[in-house]
Amino acid sequence: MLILQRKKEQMLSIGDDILITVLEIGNDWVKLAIDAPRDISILRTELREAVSANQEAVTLRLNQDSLNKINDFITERSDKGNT
Amino acid sequence: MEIQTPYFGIVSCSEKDFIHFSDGLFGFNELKTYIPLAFYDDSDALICLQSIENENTSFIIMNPFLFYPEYSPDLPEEDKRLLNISDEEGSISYYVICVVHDSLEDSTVNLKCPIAVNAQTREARQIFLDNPSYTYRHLLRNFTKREE
Repeated sequence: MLILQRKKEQMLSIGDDILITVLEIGNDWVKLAIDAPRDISILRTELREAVSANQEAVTLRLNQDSLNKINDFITERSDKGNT
Repeated sequence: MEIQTPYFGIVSCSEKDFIHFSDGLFGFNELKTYIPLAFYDDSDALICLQSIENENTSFIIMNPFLFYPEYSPDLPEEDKRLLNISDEEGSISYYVICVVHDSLEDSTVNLKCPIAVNAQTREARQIFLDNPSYTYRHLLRNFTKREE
C-alpha cells in the first residue's frame, strides 16, 4: 500500500485519467474532488454494503403466504393490533 | 398510463402517483421513478415500491414506526437540502426496505438506509444514517409486540 501526504489544493493522479484534488481539510474530514472517466464507479465504501442490501431486497415474486405473515406481524405490533 | 406489475397485474396510474428519486436507490441509480402500491387497504404498513422504468424491479417497503416507534432517523443536511425540506420536518415520511424470506423469522429490514420522501413534492432519496445502532439487516423477530 502506498501512503503519501498531500496538502490542501494538491493533487494526485492515478493512471492517465484519474485525478484527485484535496479541496478542503476539516477536523476529522477531507473534501476531495475526483475527476475520472464515467465508466469508473466511485462509491463511498460504506455504500457498497448498502448496494448489496438493496440487491438482496429486490423482489421477484413473493407468495401470498409470506405477505400475509408480514402483514400480521405489523398488525400485531402497531396500534391497530391493540384495538 | 398502465403498468404491468408482479403483484397487482396491470395497474392504471397517473404521474401524480409517482415518487421521484433524483439519484435512484443505492445500486439502482438509473431507475428514478417508482409508484407505491399498498398491499392492504391503502395502508402504508406494507407497500410495494414498483419501478416504472423496469417492471421487474420492485422493493417491499414498510412504515418503520408501526413496529419500531422509537426509530429516529436523522436526515443528513445534504439530503435535507436536496429534498427541499425546511427545518420543519413534518412533511417527511420514512420507509424501510424489507427482505422477505419464506419464514418471517428470517425476514429483515434495513434501518441503516431508509427512504425519505418529501410528502408534498413526492421527491425521495434513500439516505445513509451514521447512527451505529442501525444496521442493514435487523431481524423482524427481534421487534417485540406491544404490551396492552
